[in-house]
Amino acid sequence: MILRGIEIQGWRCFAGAASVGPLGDGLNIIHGPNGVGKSTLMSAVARGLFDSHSVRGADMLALRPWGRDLSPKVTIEFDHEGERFRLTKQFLQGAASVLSRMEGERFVPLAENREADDRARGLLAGDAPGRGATDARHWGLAQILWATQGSLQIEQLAGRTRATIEDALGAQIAAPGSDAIEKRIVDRYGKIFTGTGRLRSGTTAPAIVAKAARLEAAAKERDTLRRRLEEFEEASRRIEDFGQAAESARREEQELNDRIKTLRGQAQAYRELTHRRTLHRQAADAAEEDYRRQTDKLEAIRDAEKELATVSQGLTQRQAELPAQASLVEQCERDVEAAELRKGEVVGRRGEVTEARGIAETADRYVRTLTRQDELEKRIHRLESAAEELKRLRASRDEIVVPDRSTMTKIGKLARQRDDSRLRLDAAVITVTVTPEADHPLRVMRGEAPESETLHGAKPTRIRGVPEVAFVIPGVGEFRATGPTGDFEQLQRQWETADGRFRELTAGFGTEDVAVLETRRAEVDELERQIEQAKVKVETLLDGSSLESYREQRRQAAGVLGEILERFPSWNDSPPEPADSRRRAEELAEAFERDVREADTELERVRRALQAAVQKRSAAATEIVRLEAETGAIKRRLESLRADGWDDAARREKLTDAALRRDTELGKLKQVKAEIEAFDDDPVQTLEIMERQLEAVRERSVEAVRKLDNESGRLEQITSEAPYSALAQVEEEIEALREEIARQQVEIDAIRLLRETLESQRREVMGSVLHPIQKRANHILRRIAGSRFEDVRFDESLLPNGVAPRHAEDTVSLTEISGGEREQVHFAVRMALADAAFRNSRQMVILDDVFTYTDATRLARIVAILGDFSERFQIVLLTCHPERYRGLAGAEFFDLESIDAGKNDASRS
Amino acid sequence: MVKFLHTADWQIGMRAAHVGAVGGRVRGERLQAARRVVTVANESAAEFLIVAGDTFEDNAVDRLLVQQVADILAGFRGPVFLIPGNHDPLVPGSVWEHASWKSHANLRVLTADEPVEVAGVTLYPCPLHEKYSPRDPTRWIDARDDSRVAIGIAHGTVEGVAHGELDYPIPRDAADRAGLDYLGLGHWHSFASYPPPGGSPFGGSSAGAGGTSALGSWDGGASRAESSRAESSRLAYSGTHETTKFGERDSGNALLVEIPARGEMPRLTPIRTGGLTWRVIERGLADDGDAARLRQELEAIGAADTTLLDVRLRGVLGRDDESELRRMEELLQARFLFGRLDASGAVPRPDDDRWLDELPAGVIRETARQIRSWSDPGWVEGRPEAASPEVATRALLELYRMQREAGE
Repeated sequence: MILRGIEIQGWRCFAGAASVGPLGDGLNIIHGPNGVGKSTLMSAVARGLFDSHSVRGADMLALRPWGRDLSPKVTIEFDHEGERFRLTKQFLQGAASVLSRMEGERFVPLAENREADDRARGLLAGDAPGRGATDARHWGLAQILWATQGSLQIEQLAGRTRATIEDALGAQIAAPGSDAIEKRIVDRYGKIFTGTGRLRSGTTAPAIVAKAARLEAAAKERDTLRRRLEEFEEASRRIEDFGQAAESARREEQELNDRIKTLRGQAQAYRELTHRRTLHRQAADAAEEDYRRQTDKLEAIRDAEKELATVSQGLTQRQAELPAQASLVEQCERDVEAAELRKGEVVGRRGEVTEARGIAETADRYVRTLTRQDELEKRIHRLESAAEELKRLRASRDEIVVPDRSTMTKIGKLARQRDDSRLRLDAAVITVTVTPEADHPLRVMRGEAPESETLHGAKPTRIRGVPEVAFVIPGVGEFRATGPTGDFEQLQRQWETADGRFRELTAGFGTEDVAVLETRRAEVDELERQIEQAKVKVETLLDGSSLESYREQRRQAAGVLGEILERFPSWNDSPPEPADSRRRAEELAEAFERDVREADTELERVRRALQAAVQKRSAAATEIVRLEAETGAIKRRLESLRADGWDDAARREKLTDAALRRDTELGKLKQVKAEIEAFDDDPVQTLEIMERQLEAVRERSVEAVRKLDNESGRLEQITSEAPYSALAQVEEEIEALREEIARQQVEIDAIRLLRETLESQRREVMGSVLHPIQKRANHILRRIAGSRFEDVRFDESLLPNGVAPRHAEDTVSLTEISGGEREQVHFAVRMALADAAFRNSRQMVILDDVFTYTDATRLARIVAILGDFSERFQIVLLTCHPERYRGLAGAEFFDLESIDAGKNDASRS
Repeated sequence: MVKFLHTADWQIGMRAAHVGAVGGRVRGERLQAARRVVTVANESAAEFLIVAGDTFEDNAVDRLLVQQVADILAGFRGPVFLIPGNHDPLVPGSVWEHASWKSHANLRVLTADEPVEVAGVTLYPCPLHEKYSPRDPTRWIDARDDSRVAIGIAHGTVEGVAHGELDYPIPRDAADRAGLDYLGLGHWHSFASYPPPGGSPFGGSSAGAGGTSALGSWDGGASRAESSRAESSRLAYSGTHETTKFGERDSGNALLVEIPARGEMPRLTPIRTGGLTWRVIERGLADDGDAARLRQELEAIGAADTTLLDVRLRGVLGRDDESELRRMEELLQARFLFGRLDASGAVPRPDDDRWLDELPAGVIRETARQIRSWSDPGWVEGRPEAASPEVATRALLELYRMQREAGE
């Protein structure tokens, strides 16, 4: 549909007839200030096309101009599918509707009233409301194409509008009847699953949930019973094992008893044999002992005889050596005596060494004292000079009278205060300086009179006074000078006080001149510095001592030198050389010590020789005594050994008897041992082992029986529980539950599959519908807002629900972006939807002042976009800012204000 | 003439997990069948009754069951001889230690490998002492010099019945080798007899040397026992007295054995003792109405209270079969002792897409087409993990029902 013209009458602000047109195919700007009727014009088009002529009610009554009972009437001329139509519709009183078609050169009625209403409505696929007036929901395709003031957003697309878009895009999401089936799918799904796709729980849970829970519990019960059944079989096996163990122990006990019985007889015989073996061994040992004793005695007699002969020979030899040893001792004693004499002679030379050392020390002392005496002389002389200089400086300083530094500082400060007071006092005094060209007499009436009462030519004369100065120059006149009064006396007092205090401090120093006092102070400071230096010099020379002390030291040194010269008078002329004296003394000392060492060595050697000779002589005597004693002892031992009264032959015979007795006993012992060895093992030991084994077997048997009893009790307990029967019931229940769950699971899975496949199909179809719209909307939005937004997001209603900002993953709701950007998104979506829905027919787009928040820059871009769109759409813009669109080539402007200005139509301007 | 009843494998206390909730009832029926065995024994004037092992499913069954079995067997007028089998071996804590066996004078549990002389016959029992063993339990028997009718009672696997390592293997010629007139066996649940190789005084008369028994083998398909038909053999499994599961052939019998005299061939007569009917119905659906016909067939089955049904469907499902499947499920659940319907092998009919075209155009129809693709087991273009053919088929059926509900 292309709008060509509108004529309204009795409609809100248009009480009289008014018309707009003819409108162009492209961009049409209908403009005028606020309240001129732009929105009324759009409302008239919508009501004319979609409302029934017969509709009444408050909405329609509100169309009348204020305070007038007129019947609102609108006439719309438009082109549709290549033909021109005129729709005239009057509401309220005299309501009528006529649809005419241009046939030839004139409009010929095509339909009237209700038929005309329906036909008009059908042109844009609009709907009639059940009752009352229409609103945007009934506008059909105009939902996309028309936007009223401030309402760029489409709230909800009507079903036919959506179907038109889907058809245009070759897709169909849902045909009539789909909703009922979809609702059933969703309801069935909702009874089973939560919104997040989990099985419902609690009271609304499907039966499968409870069955699954019971299945889980039954499975645990089954596992417990299976374990119990295993325990049953295990207990049974253990009972068999314990029974066999008990039986085995019983048989083993019997066998052991039989063996023990046999072993006990063998053990008795074995014990008897071992007893006999002991007796024979003891007899053999006794015979062996006797034989050994006899043998030992014979050997002892023989050994003692040999020993006696040896000792006697040694004694004789020692006694023969005694005289030679005595002579050796005497010679050694003489050697010792000679060595001691020699040593005495050497030691007697010690006095010579001592004397030489004394001379060397005295010479050294003499030279050192002489040097010290010379040093003392020089120090005492310098000290005396420095003390004299110090005394002189102190006398010079004492001659100058000057205040100390603190007083000098105060005097300076008071002098400045006094001078300051003077200056301020002088400033408070009125001073008149007169410099006449020639001499004149002067008469001062008030003020301080100058020294002369004549004013001298070219010489300035100053007259001062307080509070005024008045003087007369005869022949010239009287002069009077006044000035500020009030503080002169105070200044006078301040000056007097400062001056008084200054004079007090300077009294006694012979001058009040501060400069003089400061000069004197500087002189005294210099003298005091020199005094300090002289004091330091004296202190340094004293070095912690006193002049008297140095003088005493000098006197003592002279005494020492005198004493030495008394002993060595020649040193007065020729002072000794201490080093030569020391060398001579040391040479004497070394020779003396060497001779002493040699004498000591010789003395030691002869003494050791004497000692050795004496010891050897003593040892020989001792050895002779020992050998004599040993000879006696051997003789006594021989007597003891032979005390039995037998001779050696008799003793040898006795030895032979003992040997025979021993051999006899050993033979018997061997025989018994052979009998014992006939036993493989020690039957007594074997018996003990067997008895211990028997004890162990009995314990094992008792333990096996005890375990058997325990296990039997356990088995009986399990048997009473009948675990197999219980297991059978549980497994049957499990199977029944599994079967039922499997059956229900198939049903649940089927419903889930239905729902998920439905959703998947919907997404797929929606994708095919949305993609071109989304792509177009994104393109338009980017032209307006640049790359700030990456993507406009749509929901299944084909309307936007958010935008994706560039470099952001999440979708941003439209409520979160600015009002201007929101307008731009809705504009882009409207144009994209229009573009998708009306690919092959030109349609009218009406925008009534919809860009409320968009800034000028972006609005300019939108205007450019509208310019582009006007090639495919008729654009009707209602605005109060026509200047924004002036730049659009081909745009036609209609000034509504001209109607108010008296014209009854708004034609192109 | 010696006449006795041979039974085995009562498996009292057996778990019946495969039938889930009716496991208790199935267990109870085994006791009922035991009572019928005793009744048969009494009515057929059997001189004694032998139970060849596995009287109980496990040694850890409820002792109340032991008492009940002992009481049931005590109802027989003659002596009852039982041997422990591999399910209830003679071990500490076994059911055979229960006092009930000593409380009835006619009951005798044979616990040793030693001959037992009873009126006119010698029994050669082979009790088992453990669950598994590769030894031949009949190996100890030597009855060749026995002048009395010699009857062996054993529990094990006759060679050739099963492959792999045999559990308690028993040679096919065990009866002849041991000089037995008859060797009554337990362990396998189907009735089966085995002809001797021939040639021996105890050779068979109905089969060639080394041939297969007239009643067939386990693997070869033993012929179905019919009480009207008697067989001759010295070696036989009586089978369990009550069928234990689906697909178990020739079970639910006791075996009446008649031996005219020492060395003569026994006459074996299977007698029905089972009370339950276990049926597996495998049906392919190909045409419209197949499901409805099957449903009618199920409705016509009698004795539903003692019948257990396992219905397995394959083939294709038409658009109207969904309601038939639901009806069948309800029928199986409500009428029969146990019923299971497995339709996972059935897929929607490939050429029955008409209803898809009736769905609203758009995502609903596309959803249906997508799931329709997944319901085909041969679909090779990939599918979500959750979209198995079974689930997809079910989803289609659900969608179909929703479409109908929405249209009502």
